[in-house]
Amino acid sequence: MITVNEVSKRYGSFLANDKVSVTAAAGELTVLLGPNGAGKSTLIKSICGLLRFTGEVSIDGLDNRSTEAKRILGYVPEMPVLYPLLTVGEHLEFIARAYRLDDWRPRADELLRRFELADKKAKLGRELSKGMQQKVSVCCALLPQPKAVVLDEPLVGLDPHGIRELKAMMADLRRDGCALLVSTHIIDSVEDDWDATYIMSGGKVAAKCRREAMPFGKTLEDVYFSITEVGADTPSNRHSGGTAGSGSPSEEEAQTWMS
Amino acid sequence: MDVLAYILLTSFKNSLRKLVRKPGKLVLYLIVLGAMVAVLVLSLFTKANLEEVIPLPFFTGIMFLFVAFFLCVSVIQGLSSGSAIFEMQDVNLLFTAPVDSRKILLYGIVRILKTAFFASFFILFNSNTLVLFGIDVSGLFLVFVAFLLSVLVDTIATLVIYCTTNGRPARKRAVRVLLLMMFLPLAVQAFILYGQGTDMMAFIGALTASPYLGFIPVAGWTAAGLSAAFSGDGGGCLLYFGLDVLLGLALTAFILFTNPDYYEDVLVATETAYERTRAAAEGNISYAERPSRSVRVAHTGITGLGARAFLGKHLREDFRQSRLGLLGTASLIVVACALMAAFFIRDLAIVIQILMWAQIFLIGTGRGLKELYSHYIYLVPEPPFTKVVWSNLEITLRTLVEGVLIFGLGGLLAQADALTMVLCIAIYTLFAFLLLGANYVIIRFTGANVTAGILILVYMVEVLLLMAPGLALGFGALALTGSGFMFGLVLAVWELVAGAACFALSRGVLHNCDMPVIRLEK
Repeated sequence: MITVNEVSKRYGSFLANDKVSVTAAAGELTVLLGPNGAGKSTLIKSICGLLRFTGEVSIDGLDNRSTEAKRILGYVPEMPVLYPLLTVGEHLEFIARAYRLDDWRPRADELLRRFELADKKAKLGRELSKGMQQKVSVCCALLPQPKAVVLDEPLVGLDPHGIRELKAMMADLRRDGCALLVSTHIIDSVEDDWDATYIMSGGKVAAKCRREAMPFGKTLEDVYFSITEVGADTPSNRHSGGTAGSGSPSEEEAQTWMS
Repeated sequence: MDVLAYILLTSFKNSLRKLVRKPGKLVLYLIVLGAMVAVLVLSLFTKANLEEVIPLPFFTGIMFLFVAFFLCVSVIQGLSSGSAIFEMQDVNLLFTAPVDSRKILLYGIVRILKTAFFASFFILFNSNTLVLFGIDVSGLFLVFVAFLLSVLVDTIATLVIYCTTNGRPARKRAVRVLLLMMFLPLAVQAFILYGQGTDMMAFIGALTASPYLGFIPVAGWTAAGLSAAFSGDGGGCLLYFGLDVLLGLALTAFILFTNPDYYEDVLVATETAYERTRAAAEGNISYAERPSRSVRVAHTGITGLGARAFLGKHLREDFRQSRLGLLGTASLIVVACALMAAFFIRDLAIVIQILMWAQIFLIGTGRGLKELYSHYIYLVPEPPFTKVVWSNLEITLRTLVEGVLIFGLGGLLAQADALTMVLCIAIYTLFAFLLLGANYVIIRFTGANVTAGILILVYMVEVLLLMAPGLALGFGALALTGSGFMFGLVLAVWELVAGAACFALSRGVLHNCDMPVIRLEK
């Protein structure tokens, strides 16, 4: 569903993503893990068409910058960005109108109910706490019923109910055949449901794993630390020269536990 | 070494090191310095060719209005959120450290001095204007120091007002009344003089020489001090500037000796400023600029489908921010000032020139350009150019409404003919169109991935380059036909053509460039 092929992104002399290839299949939860500065958020922004990059990104076979691809893609940014002068209800109405959705109100009400926002419908964006803003942000992303959803650190700032509800929502989406690509630092939050994981380090994919191919008894956390704490790489290693630092694994070197 | 001296010195050293490491900023400083010297040199030529200087009272009046504006803003700020003289790192590291709070306050005031220095820097670019009043280079530096002093006192006053009125509505009312009372005698005198039909020169002369001017702290003292200095009255100069200095010292002493536990008072302003800076850097530009006053939600709902929803959303936001919708507070101020100018000057050509300068800076207040800093506009499944067009209709409509009010009513006040009014409306609106296009071109080709200072500099140069051919063609038409109308017509057509070219060049702004972020480097 989401196919990232050899994507590279440079900020001046800093190589944030170096020929990254990732696939998030329909009906699967694909996780992006990695330390701070590994290039996860850059990759996610590239997928969502917010950054210029080299390489290819397609959503259900469509170029990610096409109108058709945008129609089936949902995005939950790391920092919720709401319009301070619009109410919660108007945020959803704006999305519904911009995406030309029909009969969207029942779904909007259902989303607001699930995230305990039904009584906040008339509240302005500026009046909400960060956690509530994050919930509205999730509702906005899910309202158009996208076939693929990209979530960047979605659980940060949410209260326990919000976390439970979002995890349940992700499980529902996965069951309904939606492709989910989630970037997170909280490995526990995806340990139960993940299907595929890409561990990023130094702007590259350091390891790819599929749940069914994991050695018995090995957890995602074990894999993560075995990758990220060997040959430690820092963003500063990636300045100038056009290639990743010596600590970054090459595509060939990347460890795989793929079926 | 004392911890506060260490922070100040180390910060200074690090900022110098950063200049070397980031030569772009150094180049910007050199360009600014070069421009300042160029204006200074230009002022020498202006001085040599000057036949008659503008009487000093005009300068005193302008300075008074200018400093009074900053004073009022400071008082209003003191009555709302206070002044951010500290930064979050000070709050987190210094406030909790075993350092005397009085010393920390003095450190804060030294930091304000740095801010005040940069805030006053623009004065140094006005040497060519000051020459028109007969003020030379040494006078220019005196104006700079006087303005810097006024900004410093204003900031300390903001802090004192916040500390003494926070959570006390009666005191807040008292401060408002006091502010009004300070200006009232001068306003009454102005009203009486106007009623007597006094001519402009005598009117301004009488007001700037009025003893009531000297009763107004900071604004009146600064203006009167400068006036005394340029009139050769050393005693008056020392008296008024001395009063400014004494007021600043008294306010500082007031905080030091009456409210050493001021941390809580500065915390709100510091946190608010920090949150806004962080929000802007994270792309939440609307949050960063959110107004502090409460907003009443009366009507709800958005109109428009697809990309049109952006216009519907912007109109809803406008009406929520101001009951007059498109005409917000900033627009009303622009319209009121322009109408006053039209009434006094009675020449729409001069009014439109002033307005076009203001437009260069005010165009960024439109909601369309701000959309580029958050993800929604990139993700909405509509053709990118359509989204750009619909998201900028709000500012275009607003400019058109402003133009109709300014040049319709202003035209009547200035007794201009209908054709001139229509032409002025067209020039004013199309200039906004051109400026929007210029902004998109910059974002398209730089990705806004430069510091705010460089961005503004590039923008200013771009606008000058874009307008130069239009002005040249306009002057050509004027020379050929001798008609001011033809000059305006050619200029309006040029604005349309150049604006359209800019939009065509920046077509891919939502496709081919990174979502910009606000870079607020200090």
